[in-house]
Amino acid sequence: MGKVKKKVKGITIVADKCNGCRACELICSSFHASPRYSSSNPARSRIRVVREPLRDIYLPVYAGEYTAAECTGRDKYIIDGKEYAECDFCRASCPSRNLFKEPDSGLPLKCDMCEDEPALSQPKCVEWCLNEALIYEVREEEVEEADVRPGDVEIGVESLIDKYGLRQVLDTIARVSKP
Amino acid sequence: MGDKGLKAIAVRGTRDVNVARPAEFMNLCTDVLKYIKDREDKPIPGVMPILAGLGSPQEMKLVDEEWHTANFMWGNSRTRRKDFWTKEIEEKWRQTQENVRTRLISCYNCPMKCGATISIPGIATYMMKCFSKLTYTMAAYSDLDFGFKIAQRATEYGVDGFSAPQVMAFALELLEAGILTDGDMQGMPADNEGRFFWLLDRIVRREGIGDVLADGTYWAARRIGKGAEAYDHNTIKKHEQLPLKLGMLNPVYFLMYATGEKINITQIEGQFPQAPFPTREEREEFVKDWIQVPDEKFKQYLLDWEPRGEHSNPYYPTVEASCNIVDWQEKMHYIDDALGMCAGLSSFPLKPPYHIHNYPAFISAATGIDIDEPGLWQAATRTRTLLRAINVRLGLRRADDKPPENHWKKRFPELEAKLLDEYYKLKGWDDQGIPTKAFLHELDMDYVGQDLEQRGIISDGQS
Repeated sequence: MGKVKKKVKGITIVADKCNGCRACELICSSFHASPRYSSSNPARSRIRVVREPLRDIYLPVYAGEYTAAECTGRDKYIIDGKEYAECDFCRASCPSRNLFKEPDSGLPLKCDMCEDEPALSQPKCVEWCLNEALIYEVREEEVEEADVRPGDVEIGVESLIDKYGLRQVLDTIARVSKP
Repeated sequence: MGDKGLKAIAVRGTRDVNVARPAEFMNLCTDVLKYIKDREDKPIPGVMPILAGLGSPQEMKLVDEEWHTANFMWGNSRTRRKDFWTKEIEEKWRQTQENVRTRLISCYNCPMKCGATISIPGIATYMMKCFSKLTYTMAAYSDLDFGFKIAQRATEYGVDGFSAPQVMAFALELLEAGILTDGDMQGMPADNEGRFFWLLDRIVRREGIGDVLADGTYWAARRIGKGAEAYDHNTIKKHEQLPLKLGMLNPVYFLMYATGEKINITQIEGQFPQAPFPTREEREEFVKDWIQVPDEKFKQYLLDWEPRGEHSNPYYPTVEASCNIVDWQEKMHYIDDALGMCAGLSSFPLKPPYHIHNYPAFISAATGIDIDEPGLWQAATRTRTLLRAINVRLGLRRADDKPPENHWKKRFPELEAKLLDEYYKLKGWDDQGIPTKAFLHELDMDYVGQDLEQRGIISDGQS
């Protein structure tokens, strides 16, 4: 497999500028509702603000990869006198916490940069952050040809298999898909 | 709420908030967001800095407090210090504010930054917004550093920044006048700031004089007696008012102070400038993009309102215009309350993003209830009328509809009576301020009329 050039989208987080309004959470959950914008619920958002006002901690984090097992990271980071847990910076949907999981199904959530037809100029969270705490960036990178990002359904099925086993998932799909 | 001794009810939900017509709703939200961004780039010229933008007065962001410190009263609403604000004070207060302000913060899903976290070395961090920055400062004739420090303790105690400093200043005035004695204040430190901290602790613990003061100035004055009532000069309807003492009566503010039943002037004012712009050109500029007016006549009221001469206070705005201006301003507050909207983006600032023309579309798209402007106006009228009827049941009458006696030096009893008469008529109330049966019938609120009738408050011949 050869390498291909690919546009990689990312969000730079300027935590110093976040004022904790959580508009990013609201618009994200609303954009991903079905039908679009039909409901909002921060628990369904793919971006969350780790927020402790009295300790001056405001840290937006957007959902990254799903992982079946929790890691060993239990370190603490002290930045400008403020103490953060390692998990605060982590974007994974993992078993150690409730972040980035659909509250009803428990299925993992992952930021898709608000991909849409026609394409948006920037993700909704960036558009709705008036404090410029979120900055959308697109850069070109060389990646392996086969390195295709999994979609929502693929991530969901993978997590179901991790949780219930392949056999039970296949049996269930067979049962519920009968006419 | 007051009857039940409740301050607030907090509700935490975890489920989805659903929208009836999502695409339509989002288009409206996008328009408002764009308006907020544009409006933030275009502060209104010719008004004091804290009122030029949107949101709750931006006192956590701004340092310029000339308007409050030179126009509001210090102490027990006693002393105006017109020359207080100097370059030296501004610089000192800037340093104080910037040293303790950790971050400007927002409420949930709001693009404004009305609040701030305040961190003073050695004491716990707290959150503050708006005029509470100055209430303790000015009640104690002190400075901003003291204001931030005592507000921290008051916030931890859950004591407000509005009536608490006033009742303390009232108590110290009584001490100075010999109505309260050293015996009432045993253990109070001698220094000015220390006395306020001491009084705050007594009030919170309801110890000694603190138990009396904890009920607020009106009730404290009556419990203390011995002439203390005369020092209770800034309450109406038993509630503390903003510490303001002015010269010429303003007919719009007269009506708002007299009839506002949310008790505080900030809960009724907002849509119409507080004072006329000096020049015709400024007024013409202001009305150019004044889309929020319910009717074009409001633009004319402002265009014709002048600082001096025939078209100035107290006879201009005219009685009719004043009634209409108050009615519009008040309606917007009642609509905000019913919707759970913050006044900071609607009823309180000039030229807000939410107003009578776009609210019906928001409500319809969000809830699926089709409502138009007349329908929303009518709903607010019903709310206001019901509140009036409840207060009337509790004994409220025309005699209670008055501003603090000394709020303006120049008073006009005949004009004031006429203002009240016409305002009551506009509101559908009789000359005692009681909603009429006919008007209640128009609002489909006959049951309220029957209730007032059964209680003997109104009869066929009204009150």
